[in-house]
Amino acid sequence: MQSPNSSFSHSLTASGFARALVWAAVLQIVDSLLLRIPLFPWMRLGLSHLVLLPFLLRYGTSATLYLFGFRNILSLIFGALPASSWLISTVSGLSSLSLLGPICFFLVKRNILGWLGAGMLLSSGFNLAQLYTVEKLLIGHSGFYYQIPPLLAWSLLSGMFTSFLAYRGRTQLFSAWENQSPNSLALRDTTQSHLTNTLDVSPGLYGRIKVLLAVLLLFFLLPGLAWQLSLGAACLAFCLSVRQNLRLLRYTWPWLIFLALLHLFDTPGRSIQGTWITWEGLQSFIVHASRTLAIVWSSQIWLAPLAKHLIARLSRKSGNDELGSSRVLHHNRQGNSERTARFPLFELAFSGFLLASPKFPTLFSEALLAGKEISAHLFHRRWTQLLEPLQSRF
Amino acid sequence: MSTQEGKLFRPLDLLIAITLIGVTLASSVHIPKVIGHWAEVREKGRLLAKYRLDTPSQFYSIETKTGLFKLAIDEKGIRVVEAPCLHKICVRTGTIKLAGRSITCAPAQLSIRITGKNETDNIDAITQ
Repeated sequence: MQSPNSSFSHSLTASGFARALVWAAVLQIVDSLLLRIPLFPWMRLGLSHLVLLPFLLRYGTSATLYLFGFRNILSLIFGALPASSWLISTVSGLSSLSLLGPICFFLVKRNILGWLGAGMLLSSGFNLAQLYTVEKLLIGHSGFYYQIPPLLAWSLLSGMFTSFLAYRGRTQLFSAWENQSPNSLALRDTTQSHLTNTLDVSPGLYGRIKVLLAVLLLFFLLPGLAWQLSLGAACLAFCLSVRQNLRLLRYTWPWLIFLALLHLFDTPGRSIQGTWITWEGLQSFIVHASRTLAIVWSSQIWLAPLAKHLIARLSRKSGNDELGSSRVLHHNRQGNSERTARFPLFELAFSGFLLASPKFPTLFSEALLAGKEISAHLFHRRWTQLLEPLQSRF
Repeated sequence: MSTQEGKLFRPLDLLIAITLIGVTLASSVHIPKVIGHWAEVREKGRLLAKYRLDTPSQFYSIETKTGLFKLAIDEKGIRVVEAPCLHKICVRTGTIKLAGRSITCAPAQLSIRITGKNETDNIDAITQ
């Protein structure tokens, strides 16, 4: 069995970790924004295993546990993930990964187990751990264990599907994470240059960020439409005072559609005269939309300077003048580390998290711009150029 | 790429797939296919209410710490009509009627579970 770091034989940089984290979190967010199967709403595709599985088999369990943990933090903030879903996913994911990750790593490296088997094991382990977590932490009885057969059958299919795709794309993924071919699948603007070029932090901004974070916290503590609307208006006013325009609004449309499908168009109650939307649905939509939009809008302002500030502090602390993208952790086969830090893997993963997080407030901007270009090609019947935006952007 | 990365398929994968299919089939045999008579509503394991399923169509409201739930009982079974949670997985689960089935709302720590006949069959509903 591998020890946490001893078999960590590939070099991993903070920017490589950041790339893996962005892909894993984006896939997780897309997965959670997709509508569920009505009879079995707990079943999801598990798209982020496209990243987690190759990452596990490349860098081992410890690094993957950090990737999983930070992925869930980003999904909680930007994925419209409820706290309970976050708790279930985090506890069951970390426990099943701790248990099955080393086994899969050990068996796959020795060619005893294939990627398909590893995918099936991890998927079924995660799903079973979810049921156990729900019983022990939330519901308090085991009445829903009848869902085990369909859940296992689903784990089999989804595990095979994701592990097959991950195996096919592993070469590009490994190259991108280890910077061997910067142009292949490279995620733009997630590394050092993005943070240094994005914002010049004005002296008063940190003070305003602290106030804004306090207001955001109140958003979730104070219930009721009046409070939500007031706080939403305060956040919006702050964003407008900094950016002077409503440009930020256009990046938030997928969150709005998701929340509208859940709340505005699907909630019973008293119909608004002449429409099929209810007052209760409208109220619920306003509350959830204002919370989500406040986070997304405001984080476009505070997340990048905060990340930059923390990375600078981390660099000063470890005596490294450069930003986190240059941090390299490389363990050779004897387990000797090139850097001497107390928690080197945590430092690297945290730096990667700080580098990745500023990308999320404008998560859908690239997709929006690509969609706009595709629409223009469609309108002008330029069939051969239809996929050009996708090739150039992603 | 080196062979250290592993291969797509090994014979052990087939064994895992067969085991998963076997466990799936074996556990599905044990699921009861009997129509239930009661619906128990619990919040974090504590019984909040218990409703007969063979009563005329009716709506019930349940107040929980998270908010108000509205339940509907008709000839098809019981379903959650309205819930205060974000993703509304409980609403999307739909109607359940077979004994042993349940609807779960993790954010509200609420579960609705169908049970079979028992000694309280002459009572229509119990609430606490």
